[in-house]
Amino acid sequence: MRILLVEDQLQQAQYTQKALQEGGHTVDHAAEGRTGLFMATTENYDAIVLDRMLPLVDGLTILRTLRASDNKTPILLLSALGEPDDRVEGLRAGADDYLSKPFHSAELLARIEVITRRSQMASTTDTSKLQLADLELDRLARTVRRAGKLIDLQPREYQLLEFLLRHAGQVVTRTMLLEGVWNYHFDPNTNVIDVHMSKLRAKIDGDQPRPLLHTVRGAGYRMGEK
Amino acid sequence: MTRSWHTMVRSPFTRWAIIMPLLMCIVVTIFGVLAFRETQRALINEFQTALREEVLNLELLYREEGFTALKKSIDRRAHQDETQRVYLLTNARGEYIAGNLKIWPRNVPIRDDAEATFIDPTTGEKVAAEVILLYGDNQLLVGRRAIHEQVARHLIQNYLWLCALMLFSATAAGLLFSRAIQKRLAAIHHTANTIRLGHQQSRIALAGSNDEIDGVIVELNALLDQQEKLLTYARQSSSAIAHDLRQPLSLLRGKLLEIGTEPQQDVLVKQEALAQLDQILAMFSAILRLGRLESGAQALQLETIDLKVLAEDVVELYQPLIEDAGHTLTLSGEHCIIAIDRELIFAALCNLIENANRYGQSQIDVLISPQAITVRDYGQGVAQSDLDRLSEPFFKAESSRNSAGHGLGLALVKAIAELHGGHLILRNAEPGFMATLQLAS
Repeated sequence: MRILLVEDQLQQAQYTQKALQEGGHTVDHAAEGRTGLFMATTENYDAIVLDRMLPLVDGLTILRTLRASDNKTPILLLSALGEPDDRVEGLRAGADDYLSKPFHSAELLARIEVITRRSQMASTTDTSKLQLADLELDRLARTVRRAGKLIDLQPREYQLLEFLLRHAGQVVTRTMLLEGVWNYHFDPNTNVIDVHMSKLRAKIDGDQPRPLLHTVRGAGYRMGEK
Repeated sequence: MTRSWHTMVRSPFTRWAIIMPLLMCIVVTIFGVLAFRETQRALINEFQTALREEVLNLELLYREEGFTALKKSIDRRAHQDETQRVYLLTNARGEYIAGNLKIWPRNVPIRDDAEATFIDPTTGEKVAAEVILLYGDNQLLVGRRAIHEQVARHLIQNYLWLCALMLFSATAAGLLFSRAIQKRLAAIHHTANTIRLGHQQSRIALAGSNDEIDGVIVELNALLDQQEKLLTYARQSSSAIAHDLRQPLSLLRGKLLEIGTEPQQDVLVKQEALAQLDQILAMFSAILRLGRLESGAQALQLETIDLKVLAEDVVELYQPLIEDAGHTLTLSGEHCIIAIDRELIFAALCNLIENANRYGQSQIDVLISPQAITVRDYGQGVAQSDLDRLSEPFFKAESSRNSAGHGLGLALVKAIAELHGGHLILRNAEPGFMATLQLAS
């Protein structure tokens, strides 16, 4: 995908750019707000990674300007190190997601993946059935079957699975799970999410020859046939 | 202390010490002049009336009883003690017959009803007199010593003394007062200098008079105490950061050195190095978060929610982890609707539960009471001496010296509690340990 990165600190920009390129994206970099705004309005990007703290024109202003001019490009807002971590304000200004520094490249890629997919598939979220290989989740009946066999899940496990299936094929990080399923935004120090995941895995992959829930080292989880 | 005249004049105290007596003098002068004029007028009136009467009396006496009676009366009157009156009765040639004046003054005309003033040569006092010519050209001079002039002289003298005394005493008082104030200011000044030179413990001495200045000094000292505490805290935490980072960074360095020694292990070593680095980054995030919370840079996003529902979320999140560790996690207590920052309280509660899971044994109780959440474990508890320091950043009790935590957890929880206008209460529960997150009541 083609991504615009608006970031004034050179080192941080290089790090982010490298991370995005490793994820297979092409990156245009703007080192300050005005250039960023100009590029965002004149070129066509799949996503914009926007630093919140910029000289001249700050990130939130760019964000509001773009949204006001009806630009719907998915935007991931980055909070600068050591400034108030105000997700709510960022999301209200029209960001699709919010990530605070320092972040993992895997986290960044996973979130970019999700916000771009989200905009493409805005219509698919209301399908009543989510399916992956022989795993099937019925959102109306709130049931899950694997190879036709009913699996008994706790409400939270069901929510986890639904979230994973909605992002099938994408890497989903632990913090994304905590946000998407529990609706809390913070970085748990322990492997508290992993325990939930291993319980879920035991129920859906258990003794199946082909596992569908994969652990991505250093990043998180992914639902997929491979 | 040598101070130039210029700074002395610039001092408000010195100015006060100068202006005050001058003002007093001006006021007294105005009063004095008014009083003086009134007194003089009254005295002169009195004087003239008395002189008139005297003359009339003597004329009457002379007409009714004759010269001899007049002479006798004058003799009697003239030789009264302390008399202010002056008499001279002479014959036509001006030779003395009776009275207390010996010679007819030179500038007094010999004319009936003449009025004149002259200086009495014997006393040097001013006398106002009237002249009466009797039959046979005897001359009578009746006068009164002008005591109002004396009174005026006395008044002016007294006034000058009074002014001098006032100037002196007010200046002295002013100087003493300003000296006292300046001395106390100098104490503040001196302490400030001492502190600037690096003696952080120095404090301003109190005069012990419990007045406003002492009040200010007490405030200043309290401020200095607080600043010193903050400074010490900043020093400690920066050295603690340095200290606590050395170890994980050295480990990381070791890991990086391992890369390439056994190529088949490289992937694993890299993973371990990354995990190590993540821990360091997490610690930095925690430091930054703590800084934001403590400096108030993070505004609270208050929402009115049920504390119990939030606790249920936390318990539900941690239940599997704690069961895996072989412990149990229970939640009890009433519903409690309260306005809080749900994200922050959630994080705080997670912190407390992680602590309980790390140091406790078998059971963790979460209890909701009005405006408060308590997390209790049944582990070893904490040494009494460590209790107060537990929520200091980077402080680790002996018992947890070797655990994985970065020593910022409770500091974060405390900051979150205080941001909500509450506080964090830590105590031993015999058995176990109890942390209460008390929110604003």
